[in-house]
Amino acid sequence: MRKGLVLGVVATALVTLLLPASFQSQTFALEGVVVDAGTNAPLRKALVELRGRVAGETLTDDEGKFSFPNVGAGTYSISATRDGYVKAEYGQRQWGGPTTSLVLQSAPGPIRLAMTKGGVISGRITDRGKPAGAAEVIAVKTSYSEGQRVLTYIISARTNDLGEYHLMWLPPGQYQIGTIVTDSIPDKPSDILINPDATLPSGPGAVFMERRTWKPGLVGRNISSDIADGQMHVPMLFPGVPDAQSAAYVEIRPGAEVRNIDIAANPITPPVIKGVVTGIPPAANGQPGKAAIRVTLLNTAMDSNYMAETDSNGFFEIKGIRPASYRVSASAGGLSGSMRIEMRGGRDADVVIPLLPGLELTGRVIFEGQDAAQSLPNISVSLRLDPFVPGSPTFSAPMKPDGTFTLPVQPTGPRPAAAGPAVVSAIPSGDYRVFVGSILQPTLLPGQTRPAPSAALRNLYVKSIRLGDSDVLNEGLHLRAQPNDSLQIVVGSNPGSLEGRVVDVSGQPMSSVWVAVLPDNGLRFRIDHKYASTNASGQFRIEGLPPGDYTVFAWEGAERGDWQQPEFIRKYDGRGSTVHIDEGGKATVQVVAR
Amino acid sequence: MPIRLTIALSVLLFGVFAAGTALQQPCSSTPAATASVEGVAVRLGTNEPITGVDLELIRVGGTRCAALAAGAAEAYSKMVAQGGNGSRDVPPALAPEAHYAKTLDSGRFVFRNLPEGTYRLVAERGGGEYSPAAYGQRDPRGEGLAFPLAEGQALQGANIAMAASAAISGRVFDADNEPVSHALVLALEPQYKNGRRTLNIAQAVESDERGEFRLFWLTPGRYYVAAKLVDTRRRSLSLWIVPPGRTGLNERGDAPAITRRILPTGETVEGTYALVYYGGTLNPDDARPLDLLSGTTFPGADIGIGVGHVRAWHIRGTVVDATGQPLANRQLRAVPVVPGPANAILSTTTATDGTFDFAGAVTGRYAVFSPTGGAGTLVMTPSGEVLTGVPYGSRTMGYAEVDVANADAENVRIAQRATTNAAASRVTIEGRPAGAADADLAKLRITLVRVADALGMPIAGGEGPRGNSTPNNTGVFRLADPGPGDFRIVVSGLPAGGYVKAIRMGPADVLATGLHLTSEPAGSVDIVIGTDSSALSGTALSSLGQPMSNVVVAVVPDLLELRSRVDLFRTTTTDANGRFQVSIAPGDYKVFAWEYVPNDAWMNAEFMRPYESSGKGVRVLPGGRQETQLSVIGATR
Repeated sequence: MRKGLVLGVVATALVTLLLPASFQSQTFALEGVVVDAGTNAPLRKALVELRGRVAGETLTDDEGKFSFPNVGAGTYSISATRDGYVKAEYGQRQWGGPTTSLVLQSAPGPIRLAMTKGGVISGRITDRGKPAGAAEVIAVKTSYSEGQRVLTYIISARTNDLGEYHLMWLPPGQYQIGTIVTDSIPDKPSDILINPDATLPSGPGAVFMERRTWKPGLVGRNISSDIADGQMHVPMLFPGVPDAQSAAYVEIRPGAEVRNIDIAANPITPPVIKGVVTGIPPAANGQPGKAAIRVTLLNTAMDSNYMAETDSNGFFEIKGIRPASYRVSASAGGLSGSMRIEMRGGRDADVVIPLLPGLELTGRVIFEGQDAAQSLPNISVSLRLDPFVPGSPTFSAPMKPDGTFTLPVQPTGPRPAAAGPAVVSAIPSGDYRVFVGSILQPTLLPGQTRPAPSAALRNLYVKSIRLGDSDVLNEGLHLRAQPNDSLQIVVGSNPGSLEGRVVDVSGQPMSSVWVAVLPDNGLRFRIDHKYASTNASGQFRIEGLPPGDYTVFAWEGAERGDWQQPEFIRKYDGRGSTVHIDEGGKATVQVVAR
Repeated sequence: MPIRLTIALSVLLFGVFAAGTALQQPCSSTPAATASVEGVAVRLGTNEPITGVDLELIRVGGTRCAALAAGAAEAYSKMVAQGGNGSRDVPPALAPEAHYAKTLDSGRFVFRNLPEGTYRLVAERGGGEYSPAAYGQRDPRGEGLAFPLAEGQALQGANIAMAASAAISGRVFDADNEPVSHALVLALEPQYKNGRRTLNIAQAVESDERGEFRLFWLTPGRYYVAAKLVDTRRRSLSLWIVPPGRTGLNERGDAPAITRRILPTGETVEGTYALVYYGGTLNPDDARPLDLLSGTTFPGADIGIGVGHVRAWHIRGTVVDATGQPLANRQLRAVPVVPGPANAILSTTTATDGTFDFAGAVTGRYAVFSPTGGAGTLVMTPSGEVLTGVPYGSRTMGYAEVDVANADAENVRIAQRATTNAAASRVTIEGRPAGAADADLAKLRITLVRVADALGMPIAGGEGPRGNSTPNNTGVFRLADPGPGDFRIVVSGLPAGGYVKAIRMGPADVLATGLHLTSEPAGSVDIVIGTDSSALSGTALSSLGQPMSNVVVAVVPDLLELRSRVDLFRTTTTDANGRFQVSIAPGDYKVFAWEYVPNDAWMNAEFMRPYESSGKGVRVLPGGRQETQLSVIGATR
């Protein structure tokens, strides 16, 4: 790949030198075909879009063919959209596979875009036996991150008056289907949203203005529906459960039409959590009783959060909780307490949260091969709850010039009044993961991006994290009491690299497939998996590999990140290529795509 | 609309007051709350009783002896003006006057222990199966009746027939008769605004994977259906389902989806998607209407949207400042001046040399302007109350109208100029000493309204964001220069018996011809409020000669050339005795009474043509009283 690029640049330079000016704006004809990824049958009426130095679109003809005449040299992306299919990008073998840009420098060969058939999920939403109209239905797709299932929003639809919904052109995968029935239709005459001066969003499909005025209503009050006192509608998931843990998965294969995904979204009596926070210091400035402490309830699966304040005796109560697993936390000054609770099965919870002094963790980052006199990179060390609870605090401390750090960082000045929820300045006991600046970072969730690490940090990797005898890097940090030891983080700076080639079972090179390099030990905790995609010759190259033993896999039909899923990897047990990476070593490998 | 209801209320209050004084009986110290209202909620057409109907009875008018709770009248007017209540709960000031009940299996309801007064009764069934309904309503889309209840009166048979909501289903397909998914499909209802008929969004849905759609929760009545692609990449659309029975102005503005088809010749042809109406036409005037009855579904509104893929054009030009220098990096917007339910609104930014290039225009007239000023979003209630936003001060404004007709529009020049508050203007009330302090002057509100009042157009300037101005108590006011364009001046908050007699700006008769500003406004505005208006009253009679309550009465200028004078129209509804009364400027009028009529349809010439002969001609003399009898026209579309 790299060699080809260099040659390309040289060739362009030669052309620039040798040809008269008019030839520099040489154009090419891009021609190609759009096919069904499953059957290879040509697809007509697919919208093919070219984006790059010039932009345009065209529709495929009856033979699935398209052409863009007179396209100048440059880098382009090409995509295809069509009813009934998932969007396809240039370079992909099927949906979810690696994409590539088309670098146009010489007359291109024929282009092939393979479209994966989209699935359809339809069904009916009812509320106490009657169709629920205008209910929102959403499809969330499962993927894996750090060994945990993560749900990503894909598409939503609304039911009609018969309660029917249709979610269409879903990429293959496993889905949960959820619905939200509102207790009453909003009767508020929606405010007129006019936007006379602000920047307008643009692009096809951008609704930037909607204006409503409403005839004086027949009804002066927003009459609510007839649900019993104390009951409420909560988001319901197929097959009719309020919590994501008990929800069923709907498997969508290419082109599948899954009907009758019906959900009975009946109102429920939501659970109540009551409790007492013990160990609260007395109220300040002479007030009787104890200080009011904020209690937060954070959902471990989705992001529905609740908050309450304790009374002068430390008691609190939160009603109307959506059934799920939660972490309930309270803190005051250097004291904090938290616990995990299950708010499911229609049971209320009664908890006692003792406030305890928080823990302190000291440690040092050791950069191998660098003496202390050298200026060390400016990084911070952070702790995050494991498993991660969205919205829970992350404890972070900057590394001092000598490589030491102390967690948590004690506040130096008064906190701003508008601080967010869960203000914790001490580390409660619990299970944590340790992250080290941009050297060891949390896995990106689908759709997330982050800037590339600076050049100074690019070759660094975390070699080990130890707390006394325990291997924190591979087994996590389990803080139960104030540790006697300090955290030792060893950062290596001489990683290895891996070059290789992916072939199919007949030995032919495979382009555009994902290659993942998985460490043989501690799969769950070594989250910094390296991966790459193969180029047109089936080759790949991965840099910055910590020394160790690895298994290299390549898949033709995988989505990025599938290898973080334990069940997925188990299916390919023993079918990867093993490789040993030495410090600073270069290894080569040939992998058969699965 | 708020004006109309305010008039209706004042007539009612006047009637009750007159009755009270005529009796001349002393009030007991605590008026007995002994009246009752009883009735049954049934399905319109079949008369089946409906269970679980929520009923709301609000006393909207008090009497001499049983006054409304403090602040209740104001709370009710405010709610009416806002077009509904924003909260789940009744406004606190109105709570003492609001009563609630729910029907059981028999459909029966009863309210007891009611004080005397004027009431409104409304019914709603949760779940969308029925449109909300009101007692005394003459059409599922019409308003309810404000009815009197005397001390101790037992009103029986306050029955409410609820229309079941209707639906339209169909299929969207392309030029090859293949289904199209994710198309925007609209149910449209005719509405009238400043004399123009517009089609307004009653419901919006998207087509499914089979191209099928179902527009639901429609109040029975006349509808049109239209569909278009708003996104070539077929993402799911941002939609908001309208609950049954709620109507009102509802337009949608989308950025245009522009297709750039590269032909085998290498030429690029730009296209965009227009709304295709059921009936296979792009012209709303040729759209096929669907008349929906209670509880029915029209099953075959199939729409081929292939004809909606139309050629898109460019609008190009330059923006310069007052000295002719090009203005770089200016945001510009191009808005179709003819309102449509789902017009595409174009936007672009000028290049360093001041040039601009809009893509995605279709044949028609566009207003091109630079919406500069304070950045921010204004959120307003329908009554124009500003909830959040930025103050409007001095701003620069450039504006031009451009016709696009099957070709790119080139060389459009937009000259920006700073707008400043215009010279002090004056409003006077006839017959009162000029320049003297007069509290009635400070109650007036003078509003600049842009004639081309389409979605996305710039708001007329002024002190407030709506171009409102309130005179001081000597009648001096300032209207901010709104920039170029065509405007009307609307005066509200008139004293009793007052009407707008004249509006002039220098030699221009603004009342008759409007305000046409190409450059800065020349001179001040003079407004004269006439006080010699007349009272026009009457009775509306059915074909059997019986007085009819709750019919719409519209007083329309007799001369067709005065029909553009919005200020000369009056409308009200008849009371429980079929009586109405309005205050009106002297002149010749035609008076109409309808069982049901879309609001403001009487300002539309085409709508009025078949009814002209049904109007009752009246001549109203200055300061006089005129009595008339009207025959009610049956329900209309």
